[in-house]
Formats: sequence, C-alpha cells, structure tokens
Amino acid sequence: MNIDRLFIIDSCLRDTTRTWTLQDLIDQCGEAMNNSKRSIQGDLELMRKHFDAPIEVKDRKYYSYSDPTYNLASQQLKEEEKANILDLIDSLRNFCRFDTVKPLLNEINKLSDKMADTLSVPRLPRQLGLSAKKPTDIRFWVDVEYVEHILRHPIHPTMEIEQYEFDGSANFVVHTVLSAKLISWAESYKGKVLLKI
Amino acid sequence: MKENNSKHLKRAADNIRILAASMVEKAKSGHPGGAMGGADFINVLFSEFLVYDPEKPLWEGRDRFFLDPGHMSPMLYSVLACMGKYTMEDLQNFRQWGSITPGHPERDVMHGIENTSGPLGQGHVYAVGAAIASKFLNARMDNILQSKIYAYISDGGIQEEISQGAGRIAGTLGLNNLIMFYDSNNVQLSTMCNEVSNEDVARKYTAWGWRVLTCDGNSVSSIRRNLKTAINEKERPVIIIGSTTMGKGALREDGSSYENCPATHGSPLGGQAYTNTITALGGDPENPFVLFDETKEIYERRREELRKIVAERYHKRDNWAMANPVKAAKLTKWFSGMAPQIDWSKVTQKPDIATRAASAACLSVLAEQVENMIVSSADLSNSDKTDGFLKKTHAFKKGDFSGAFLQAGVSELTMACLCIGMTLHGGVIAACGTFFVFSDYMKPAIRMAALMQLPVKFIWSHDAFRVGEDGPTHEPVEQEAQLRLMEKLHNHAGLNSMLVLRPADACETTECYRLMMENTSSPTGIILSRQNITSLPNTTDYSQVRKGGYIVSADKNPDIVLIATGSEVSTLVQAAKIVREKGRRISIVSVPSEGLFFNQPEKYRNKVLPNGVKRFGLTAGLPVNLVNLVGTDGTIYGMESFGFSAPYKVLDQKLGFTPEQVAERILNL
Repeated sequence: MNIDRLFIIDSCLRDTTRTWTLQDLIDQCGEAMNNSKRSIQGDLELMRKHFDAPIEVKDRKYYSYSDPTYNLASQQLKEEEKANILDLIDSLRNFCRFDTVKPLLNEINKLSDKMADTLSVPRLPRQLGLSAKKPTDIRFWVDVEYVEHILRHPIHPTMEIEQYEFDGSANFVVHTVLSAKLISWAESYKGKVLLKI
Repeated sequence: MKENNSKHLKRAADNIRILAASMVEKAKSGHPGGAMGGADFINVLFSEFLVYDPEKPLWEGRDRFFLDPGHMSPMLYSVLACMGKYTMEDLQNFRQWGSITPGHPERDVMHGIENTSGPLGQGHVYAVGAAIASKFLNARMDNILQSKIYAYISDGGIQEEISQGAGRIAGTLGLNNLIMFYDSNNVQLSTMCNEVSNEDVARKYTAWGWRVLTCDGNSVSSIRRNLKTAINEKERPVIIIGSTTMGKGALREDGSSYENCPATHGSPLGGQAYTNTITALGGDPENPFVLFDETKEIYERRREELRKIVAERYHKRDNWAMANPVKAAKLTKWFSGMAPQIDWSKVTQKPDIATRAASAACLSVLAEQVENMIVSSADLSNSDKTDGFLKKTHAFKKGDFSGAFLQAGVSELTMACLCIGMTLHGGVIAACGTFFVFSDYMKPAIRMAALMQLPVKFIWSHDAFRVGEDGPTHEPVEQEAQLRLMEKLHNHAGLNSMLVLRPADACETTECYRLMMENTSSPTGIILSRQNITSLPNTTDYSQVRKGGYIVSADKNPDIVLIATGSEVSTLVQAAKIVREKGRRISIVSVPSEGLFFNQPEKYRNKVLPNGVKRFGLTAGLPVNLVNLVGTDGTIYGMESFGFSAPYKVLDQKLGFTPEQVAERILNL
C-alpha cells in the first residue's frame, strides 16, 4: 500500500472543480512514483474496500466521490492497517540489534506502546532478537459462533484444534511468530477470539 | 387496568376459538377442544392482567405465563397472535417443518413462550419454581420485581402425580405470587374425567395451603373478578378452578352441539362440523385466519396500557438502581445468564475422600461466592452432601426467602422441575441433589431441561453398588448408561444435550464443578461416590479434565490402556501396580465425560487411546458405558446384574472389583 499515493488520489477526487480520468490520476501521482494504470486502479479499489471511499465512475471514465464530504484522513483504520503499522515498528525494533541504531531502542519501544494505545490494540512484547521472531505454539480460544468459520479460513497453515469445550467453543494452536497481525486478527473478532498470551 | 366491553371480549375469545380450530384443521392434527374451552380465560388474562413490555420480551420484571397442557398450543399461539407476537402465516404453518408454531410449544421467550410443554404436570411446576426464584430475588433486591407468575393447568396436569409435589411446596412456602388457573372441563382424551377421578380438587388444594377460588371459566365477569381477588392475595398461592366447556362453540356436522365431547380433545373438528363451527362463531370458513376489528382494538388498547404500566415500573426500577447501584449491577449480571466468576483456589480438598465429600467442599465455596445460587435436596441433604451449601445458608420458609436452600421433601421429579422453573425465570442458578438411583424419578425433567438448553445442575451421590448395605434398590447400575445416552443426544444447537461428569477423585471433582458452573447452555449432571476413593497419583494433570478424558499416568509405549470413570479409575491405578510388577507397560485413562471426550479432535483422542494397543475397561455400571471407548477388540468388565445388599468391601470381593481381581483380568488379556 502506497499511502502517499492514496492521499494524492483523495485530494484529486475531493477537488470537484474539474473531472478526473484514470490518466489524470496517474499524472498527478507522478512518474517518479513508478505508477501504472494497474497500480492506480488497485489504489482505487483499496480505498473503496478498506476506507469505505464512495468512488464512482461516470461515463465509464470520470472518477469522483459520490459523497462530497468524504475525506480519507478522517477514516478509521481497519485491523489490517493497524497490524501493518505495528509490524513496521516491530521491524524497526529489530533493526536496533545493529549497534549504529541501538541507542534508538528505547524511543522505538515508547513509540510502539504509544501507537498501540492510540490504536486500542494490545502492546507488543518487548523482546529483541531471535526470540521475538522464533515460532512458538500460540494458543487461542474461539467462540462456538466462529469455530467453523476459522476452520475454513485458517490464520496459519499450522493451525489446528487442540481441545473442544462443552459449549462447542474450541481452543486452537498455531506454530508461528507472535505478530501484530495475529493480535489484530484476534481483536477483530470482538471478544469471540481470545489469544492466550 | 381498563375493563373491556364484555361483548367485544366474547368476540375476541371467539376469534381465538376460530384461529385455534382452524390451525388444527389446516394441520390435520392437534387438539381443538381444550383450546376452544380455555379461550375466554386466556383472552381476559392476556388483554387485561398480564404485564409485559411489548417492546422488550426479555424484560426481567415481566409477568410470566406457564402453560402446562402443551397440547393446547393453538390457544396460546392464537392469543399471542392477538398480541402481535405471531402472524397469521405463523398460525397457518402450525405443526409444520421449520415453523415457529410447533405442535407443542417450545420455549421461545421472544414470541411469548416461557416454557416448553407437553408432558403434563411439568409446566405448572416450572411456574412454582419461577415463583420461588422471584421470591428469592425480591428478598435480596428490595422487592423490586413486581411480577406475578401465572400457570395454566388442565385435568391431565391435575391427575399427574407431580401436581402433589407442586401443590405441597407452593402451599408450604406461601407463594402468593403464584396464580394458577385450572381449566376443569371434565373431558379427557379417552374418557370423561369422572370415570378416573372423583377427588375434591378444591379441598385438596385447600389442604395444601392454597387459596381456592372457583369460577365459570367461560364467563368474562367471573374470570375477571377472580383474577382481581387472586392478585391481591397476600399469604397463599391461588388456584382458580374454572369450569369450562370442552369445545366451547363447536357444532357437529348436523348443526347440533359438539361441546363436552372427548372426540374434540385430540383431533380436528373435520369437514362440515368445522364449517358449521367457524360460521357459528362469526368467522369465514374460507378465510378463517383473520383478527376481528374488536380483537385488534382490545389488544391495541392493552398495548397502550402496558406502555404506561411498564414505564412506571422502569421509572421505579431506575430510582431504585440510582439508590442501590451495587444491587442493581448484580441483578443485571444475574439476569445476563453469564457464568459467575469463582475463585476455585478457595476449594480445599482432602486426599482419599468420597467425591460426595469433595462435592460438599465445592458447594461450600459456591455458597460463599455465588450469591444467586439456589441448591435443593430431596430430603437427603446430609447424605448427598448438599449440606456443604446448606451449612453456609439456610432453607426457605414461608415469608423468608433470605436463605438459598430449598428443602424439597421426598419428591425428586418435583424438585427437578422446580429447578427448571427457577432457571426459566432467570436471575438464579439452580442445583438439586439426591441419590443417583433416584435420577430415574427425574428423567422426564432432565430431558426437558436438555431440550430447553437450560443449565440446571444435577448432583447425584451414591453412584454405584458400593452404596453397599442398602442393597439393589439403592444401587445404581444402569443409570449411568441412561445419562450417557442424554449426553450423546444433540440439542437443537447441535451440541451435546447434556454434560455428564463422573469424577474419579476429590481433585477431579473440583474440576468437574468448574465445568458445571461454566456450562450455561445445557444441563449438567455430576455423579458422586458414597465411599472414600484413594486419590489419583500426585502427578495427575487435572487440567486435562476439561477434555472429557485424559491420561492419568502412562508408561512409555504402553501395551495396555486401562479405561474407567469415577471411582473405578482409582481401582485401576491400584491394579496397575500389580500388573506393572509383572513387566507390563500401562496407560491409565480417566473419562469423566464420554461426550466431551468424543468431541475432542481425533489427534487428541488417538493420543489418549492409541490404535493397536489393547484396551481394558472397568465400570461399576453396565459394560455398555465403556463400549465406545474400549471398542470391540477390547475387554470390559462391568456389572451384568442388579447389585446386592452387603458391606461394599464384601461386594467388591464378591463382584470381582478388588484391585487384585482386576489385575488378574488385565494380566489374562
């Protein structure tokens, strides 16, 4: 996802003083950003799907917002975007194993916590080094309502059920790295999936 | 309450009669006669007295209506249709696949059905249980729940033996919040009632301590007058004995009266008789599924009245909640039906004790920590060890529901139904105890609790022939197999209809109690020993109890897997010592809940019961208890007959259940 490009497209579509073709949007994003027709179309689709952008196409070529009050910046982040942010910070933290940036570790940890609080997601463990990235057995409980769904859409190839409860809920295990993505995925089930960490 | 015009009310009652008869006619099966006879009472009750929130069917302060004769479902569905709970299309789909109007009502509070009914007698006992729950809650919540509990019973329900238990308990406890209408039409399915009973029902209920009122059950003014009197009763439960006419308004094919005839009890009116009846009642036989204008007006007016009544009660409750925020929060939590938070670390178990004693230790902690729990015993509290709970509280008595224990007397089925009624009311957690052999008396109620997916807790002690001296009348053999059948049966949610737990020692008992208290979606039965049980090895991982079955101890690459539930696990542990000395490698498996174990993933089950390894099962019940676990290639040693009267250690010897005898059988595999 190229955030910069999304905001350029957003500013274009909010400008209703003119019309916008796909080529206009490509031009606005600039050649330097290595943009193609396909990447801009992907951005438009992503804006619709992840940020509820009311993008419509008139006369098969002019792009605009059907809701003139729409503004990308005011949209709520979806769980996947939150996970991406935390994963990014996690990557930064791991770079701190290099002596040249090691002094920044504390700052990055603070940033990580602050971002987690802002996004209302659990804080990531503060391990650094191999242990943080070493796959382990991670267990989670799933309410009966979602057991079948999660079995059909496994979060990881190693996922399996360890134990069923009497009420049909189930305890799963995956052998993977504890990531922000996994935490956010569990959070997205609003209490119906509980990570045991 | 504003009284309705009597002519309009009669028209609405005829409307209910038309709908009920037409539902049965369209379904080609059902019971029109009783529904037609009871239409006047149900119409007055629902249009002038019953208090509910038209917008919030689950409102905890609502009056509750419990129907006992479930075969009168057309009457109930019809009056609920007048209230707007069902559509005419719903009524036309009566008794059809996928409809919300099944042959006998199935609990559906959102549509106004408080209880599943059909097995006569049980329904009105649920009402007694609900009245107890309401008293219990009011004793703790400053009488904030103003609800009345209404029951509707017929001749069949009065004849069922369980009515004795309900009558006795309700009278003894002075449940003045209970009002029961007895639809006395003197006609039953095969005969007239006076051919099978000539008792004086009024004097019977008077003797039990009820207030008895009599009325013309087809007269609006008489019904209304008696309901007003009943509502104002301060001391006693009230029974209104209403003389009604079976098949009220029904006409035969030739136009003569079809009233008071057993034939209308259980089959459609049929053909011209149906046409004549509907026409005479003011309906259109070609288009009978309509609400008359008078009916609509009466029930719309009632909705308006209810909005005001309910608003006043909400206002009162809000003021109370402001003044009593802690209590109000508790009440909300209790009615949520969520499992209570329990600190299980407070349970201290001694080694080598009977599991009934371990149960008492758990109940003692529950008495301290679960404020909305009610425990009952059928005159066995000091034997089934529910006194572990009782010692921390006191029993209910008339006018004092500050305790949390119900001494039900010797009436197991009544007790079980009372607990169902308490659970249906909501806000409380109900448990009952007795000897396991008497679970036979409770089976119809257990089945209904399972069907309704109610988390009633059944606590059974004295679980096997080791009851000893009392002999075969008190020694369960086949009972566990019967309960395990309930565990195998799925409810309509697709889950085991019941959780059945038979713990192997004191610590397993605690874990089983944890499961029982966490289970909020089905009944749980816990089966306990009378005799002391040597505790399982201290290496036992009791957290595995949650899986229904688990390895207690295992040698590497075992060549025999030993399987049991309850006290037989301990016997196997002792037998295994002998077998190991002979060089055999052993795995010992405890299966407190077969149903839960078979729900586990195949990988886990195969780990516990590896393929290709010999299996030996030991049960103090019928061998069939273990057949699914041991498989056809294994060997099961169990009871093949009733038990006998003798000290239990003698019985162990005579019946082949000593560790030495069991070890020999294992070595001979």
